[in-house]
Amino acid sequence: MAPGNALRQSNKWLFLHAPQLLLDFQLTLQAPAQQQQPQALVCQQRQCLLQLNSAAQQAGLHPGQSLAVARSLCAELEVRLYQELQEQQLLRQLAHAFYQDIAQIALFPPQGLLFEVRSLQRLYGSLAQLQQRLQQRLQHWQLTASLASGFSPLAAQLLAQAGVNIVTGEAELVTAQLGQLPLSKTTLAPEVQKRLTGVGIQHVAALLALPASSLSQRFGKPMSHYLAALRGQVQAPQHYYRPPPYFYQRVDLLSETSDWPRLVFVLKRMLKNLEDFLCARQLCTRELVIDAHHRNKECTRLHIRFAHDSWQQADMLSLCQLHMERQPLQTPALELSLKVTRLRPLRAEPQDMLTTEHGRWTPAELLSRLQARLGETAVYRLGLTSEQRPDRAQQSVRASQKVSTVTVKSRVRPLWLLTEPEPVAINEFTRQWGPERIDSGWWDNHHLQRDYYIGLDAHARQAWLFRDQRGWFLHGWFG
Amino acid sequence: MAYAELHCLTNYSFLRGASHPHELVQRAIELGYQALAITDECSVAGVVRAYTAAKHTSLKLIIGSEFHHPELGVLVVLAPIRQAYGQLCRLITRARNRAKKGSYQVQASDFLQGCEACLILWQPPVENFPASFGQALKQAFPDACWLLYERHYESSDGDCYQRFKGYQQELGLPLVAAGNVQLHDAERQPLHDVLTAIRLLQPVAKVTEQLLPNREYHLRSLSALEHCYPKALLNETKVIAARCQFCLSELRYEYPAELVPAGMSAIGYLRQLTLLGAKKRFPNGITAGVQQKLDKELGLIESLHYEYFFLTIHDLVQFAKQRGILYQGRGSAANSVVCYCLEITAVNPDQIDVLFERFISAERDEPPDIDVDFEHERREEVIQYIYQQYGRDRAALTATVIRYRLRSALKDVGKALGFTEQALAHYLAKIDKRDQQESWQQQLLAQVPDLAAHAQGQWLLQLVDLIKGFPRHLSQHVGGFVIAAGSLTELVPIENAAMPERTVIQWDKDDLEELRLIKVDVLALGMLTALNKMFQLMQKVHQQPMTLADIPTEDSRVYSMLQRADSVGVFQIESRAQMSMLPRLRPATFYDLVIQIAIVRPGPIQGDMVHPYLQRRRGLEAVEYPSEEVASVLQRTLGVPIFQEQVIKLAMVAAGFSGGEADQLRRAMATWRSTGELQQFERRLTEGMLERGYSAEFAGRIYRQICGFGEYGFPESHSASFANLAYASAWVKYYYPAAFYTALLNSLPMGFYSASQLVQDARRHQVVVLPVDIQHSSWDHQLLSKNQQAFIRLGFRLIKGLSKPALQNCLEQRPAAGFSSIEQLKSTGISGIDLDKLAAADTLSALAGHRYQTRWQALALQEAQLPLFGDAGGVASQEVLPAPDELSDIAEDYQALGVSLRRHPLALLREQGHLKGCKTAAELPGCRHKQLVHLAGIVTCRQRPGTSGGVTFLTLEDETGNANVVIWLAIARKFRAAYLTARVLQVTGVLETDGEVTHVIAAKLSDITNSLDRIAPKSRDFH
Repeated sequence: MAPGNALRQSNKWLFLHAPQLLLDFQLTLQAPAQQQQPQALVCQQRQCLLQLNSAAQQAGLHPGQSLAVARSLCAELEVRLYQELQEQQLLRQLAHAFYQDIAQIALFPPQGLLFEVRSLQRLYGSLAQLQQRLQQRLQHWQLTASLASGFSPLAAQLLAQAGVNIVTGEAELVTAQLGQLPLSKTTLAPEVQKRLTGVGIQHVAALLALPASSLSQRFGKPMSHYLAALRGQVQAPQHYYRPPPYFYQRVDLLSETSDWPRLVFVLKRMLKNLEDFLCARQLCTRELVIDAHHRNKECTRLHIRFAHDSWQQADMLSLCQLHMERQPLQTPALELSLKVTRLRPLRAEPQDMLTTEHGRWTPAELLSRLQARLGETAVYRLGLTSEQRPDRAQQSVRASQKVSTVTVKSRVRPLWLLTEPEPVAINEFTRQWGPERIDSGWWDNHHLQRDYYIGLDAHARQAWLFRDQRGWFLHGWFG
Repeated sequence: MAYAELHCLTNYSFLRGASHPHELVQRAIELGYQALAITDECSVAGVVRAYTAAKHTSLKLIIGSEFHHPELGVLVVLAPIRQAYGQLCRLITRARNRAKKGSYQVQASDFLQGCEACLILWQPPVENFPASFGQALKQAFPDACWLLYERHYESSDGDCYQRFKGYQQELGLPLVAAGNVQLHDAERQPLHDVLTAIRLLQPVAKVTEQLLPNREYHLRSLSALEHCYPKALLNETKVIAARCQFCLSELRYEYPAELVPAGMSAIGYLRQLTLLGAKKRFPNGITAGVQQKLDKELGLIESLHYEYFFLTIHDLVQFAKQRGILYQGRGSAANSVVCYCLEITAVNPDQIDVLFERFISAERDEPPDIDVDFEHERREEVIQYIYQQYGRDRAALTATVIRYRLRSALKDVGKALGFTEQALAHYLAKIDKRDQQESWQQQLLAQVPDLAAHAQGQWLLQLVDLIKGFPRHLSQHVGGFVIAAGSLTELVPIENAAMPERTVIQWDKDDLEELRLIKVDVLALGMLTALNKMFQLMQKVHQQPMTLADIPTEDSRVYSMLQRADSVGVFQIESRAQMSMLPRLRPATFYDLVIQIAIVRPGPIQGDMVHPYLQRRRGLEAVEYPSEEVASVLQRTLGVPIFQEQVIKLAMVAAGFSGGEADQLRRAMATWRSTGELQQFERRLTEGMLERGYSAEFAGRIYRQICGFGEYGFPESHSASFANLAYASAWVKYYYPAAFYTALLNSLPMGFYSASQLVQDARRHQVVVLPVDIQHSSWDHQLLSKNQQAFIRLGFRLIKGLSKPALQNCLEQRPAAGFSSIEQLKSTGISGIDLDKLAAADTLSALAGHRYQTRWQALALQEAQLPLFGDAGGVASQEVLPAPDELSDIAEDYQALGVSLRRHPLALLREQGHLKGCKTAAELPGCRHKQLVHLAGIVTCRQRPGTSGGVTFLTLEDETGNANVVIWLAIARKFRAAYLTARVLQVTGVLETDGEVTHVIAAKLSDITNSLDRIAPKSRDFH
């Protein structure tokens, strides 16, 4: 089959490739001054650069470069680990945004979206109009991306991934562009590319010019399938994107912060996305879950309930702000996430928060309502941790935190531990047993050096006493 | 009160003990302990270090080991007498052999049988008291088993004591107190916690349960112990210590006796062998001088009982000789007349008379040192011979203790303190280990001042320094074998190495040296492989039989070649640094080569010995000696100490060091960077020299030179053996260049240069090199000759990834007239993949034309390709592909072979006008000193030696040869990207010439890699 024949079709596909999706998104969360800092996302396994901002590129860095070389070229380079899951999540959000314009979107992780556009021509009149609409969205997202048309999904994909921007209805233009692509820009297996280069085939045009039979004789079925897919002779079924029945977004704060305006800034953006999401579906909600994720701790969760149906950013934001002001973050957060799982259709009449159909609450409901009312930090339970230092071994654990299952060494410990040890006159006690020497905690500035004793007071109560450099103290009572 | 600590771990219980053996010994002495038992977990790896520290002190050292068993609890086994020590070693060996490297497994029967002479201290588990095992122990060890009670002030102390009282009643065994010591000083607790965290692969804050609850695990003062334990339990430690009489000095190494024929004494046999050899070595008769030395050496050997050592090595080299494996001995004892006669070395004593003064020195009390190098491709045969000859229970490899160095320490401690890997990598990048001026802490703090601001950072700085030098695990020595007369496990435990079928003992070379046990070093050397191949080729092609000893000595033409720095491929003197020294030092005798090899080392360079030596050699500086004694040591190197031996000898003659002290100094020099041991010698050296009338300035210079030498000092004896091989390979290069390059190419990987560089050098020496060709080549490169003209035919071994057996099978079927078509070649059964590799390497041009076409045809013959379309089946392709252009051909050559016989890529660039105004490497020597020049080339090597003060040396290759470029730090920084990453570089700079040495001081660098992107191979960077 002559190549020209195969390509005489219309370009029904458009491919969007955003080579630094994750980094671009992170940049939108930064102050302008910080955006100018050279920064890069790196692959942990191979220790090489994956995505770079323009400042890093200007410093002579490029993707694929080893981290060691990059560091020596640009000492001030800010480096973060590439998070595949985050980018996948982002790609879904991006698909979600475009879903308002285009019905048939297929995800090509990690950074690509395929649009079926033929059916849209009627809607948008011309490709140019569609293109304009898409560009607007890209600008809104502040994304670096290339958009390419193609008579097959693969053709569009290869062009876009090669950085070619070509939105056109003319198949010939696409064919011409495609022909100029070096083999390295195809998705053929590296081994196959190497062999093709080895017989002098450098560009896609030269590949397409060879008889299909000769090629398949040498490279087998996968090659003929590949070429058929490239020419659009076979249609692989696409899995089109369908919006999820819930909303979830997680955002990297890029540096640890408990800084209030900064958190609100990010939250605002997320709530705006939520508003878009809800509006597109004519939905609303009565509860949000905001999680602040910390480095070495369980995340801090803010469960926010509204007395009425909400969907507007401003509305939701004011309530969130109230909650957050009451419970400032104890520990700086690394990431913030927003989750809404209970969606309800948008209705007119509001409901009272405290009335329920059944009138009775389960303990869990009671807990969550108590938390909503009193603030989450106001509700605790007792927990044990594996620690030498007694006041750290027994801790009040937030009711919402999972109980970690640690096997705790049996030590003689009173159940009733005083919050603050009290100085005592030791001659009022008779020593019953001791000492137990505890000398631990040098690593976190709470170094403890104490000798513990069990003693009886005048009422024959068993007291837990200790002595340190400052003198004698009562630390607890045995039951 | 007297106390003996009977349960103490050192840091040789890896990641458990937090103190060095010598720290524990010193602390025990300070505290007035009567005895200290070193009882590492299933190991005696740390005992020799403790023995060294306890020698000549009042402290009695007891040898033992601790074992953990999930149901039996903890057992400490002590060795009261020599027999018990052997039993303990066997017990450890058994337990280690059951498990993989680094772990062990014990059973109840291990203790109950085979340990009769040992003492047992037993700590039953907290739950499920194994009463029957207790009874069995009591029976098996009447009056030799105790219950081990240890108290560290924990809340369970009361219960624990009651439990032990119960056991005592039930079994009738006595109680004894011990400390379960893991730190010599309470201050080590943080380090211990960090070690625990490292062991558990978690940050400290996550493993609090496993950390020590307090600091009671250190060596406690006697009064603290009296406070802690009942007096009777403390007294019992004295009773046990009194029964322990074994000392490591009792260990006597017994050599394999079978080497001596029945009825002969060892020295008699050695004398006989030496005489036989002497007749061979000196066919014209032995001179009186040689005879005298021989007698002296044999006398020394006899008085020091080293006969078996020499006989063992003689046995190994005889084996190698029979098998035609090339070898050479080196080391202080190797350069003796005895070794020359025993054919252990080939260094001709006529050439290097001076060395024979240094043999085994009775006065210096150091064991003989002989390393034997064998061909690297055949060393395994020698190792297998050792195992066969002596058996696996009598021969094992020496251990190498892998220790924490800055990098590993920072990573492990950092992770334990909760730093992210990112942060640690960032810190590491800030530290230049070669910086002599600033410590790593200073460097780090200068760039990351925040670090000192928080506790975590301060701990990092402190603990990393403490953990440096801590042993991390045992690995195998490169080739040091210990061979025993009887079972080796009587002497030291043997454990599994990481490599299958290899076993190592628990001691390293320093331990062996301390105990005066002897190892035989069986090492691998690539140049011996190459030399053997050279000799074989010379025999085959030139009908010139040759051995190392046959090579004519002191050939001035060979030396003048070396003086021109024409030394690519020559052993030891082929590196860039050596090459730039050759024209300056201008070696003209064998001994000059010995110096040349030793002088281009960090030791002499840091000790500032190179310049004075060169000046004196040229007669530009007077040679003066402060005394006769110093002159006797330094005369042969013009008053400048260059060899390690000279420095040691100087300490003896100028500072009055005794033999024993000098030996300590030698060991300190080997390790001072990690332990700072050398400083203790500074005062002793200076005072000694001042007393003997030397100036303070002289004393200071000698001390600095010793420091500079450090671990990089090179012994003269090694240098002499290396010089022998350097001369031999240079001689072959000069007289039989084609054989020289063929053999080198057939021995790769080895040496400094790639196949491509060797081939280019060969062609510059007018050696004809023909490409790999399916009709003519074999697997190896061949040396052929036609009309008296030798040439090289490259072999298939160059083709990357080609299967050797498949190719050889194919070549066996090659018709005399060659293959007639690709199809015929394919019919030999060669795989499609290999066929493609042959085509890609352009070896099939005789069959089907240019490379693209042959490859296209070869691809069509791949197996298992089902025709997809009807017309494809069996029909050969008709397509005619365009031929590759020259650049593509060169690129493909490099890709498939790593070598191209076509034009050099730089020649193409020049022809295309990309390098206007650039000089070639060959034109540089013709340029003026200080002339501004441009040049370009492929970067083949980047080096930034620690001794260079930030200067980088770069080698640029073009079609005419190599050029040296010097890049100062400022220029490297200014053109950072090009400096670090360019593979093809254009340099503008000032030419400097010094005699025949030329280099370009770079002022501007530009990366022109793009112009040749497909070709330029990767350079050897900062290795």
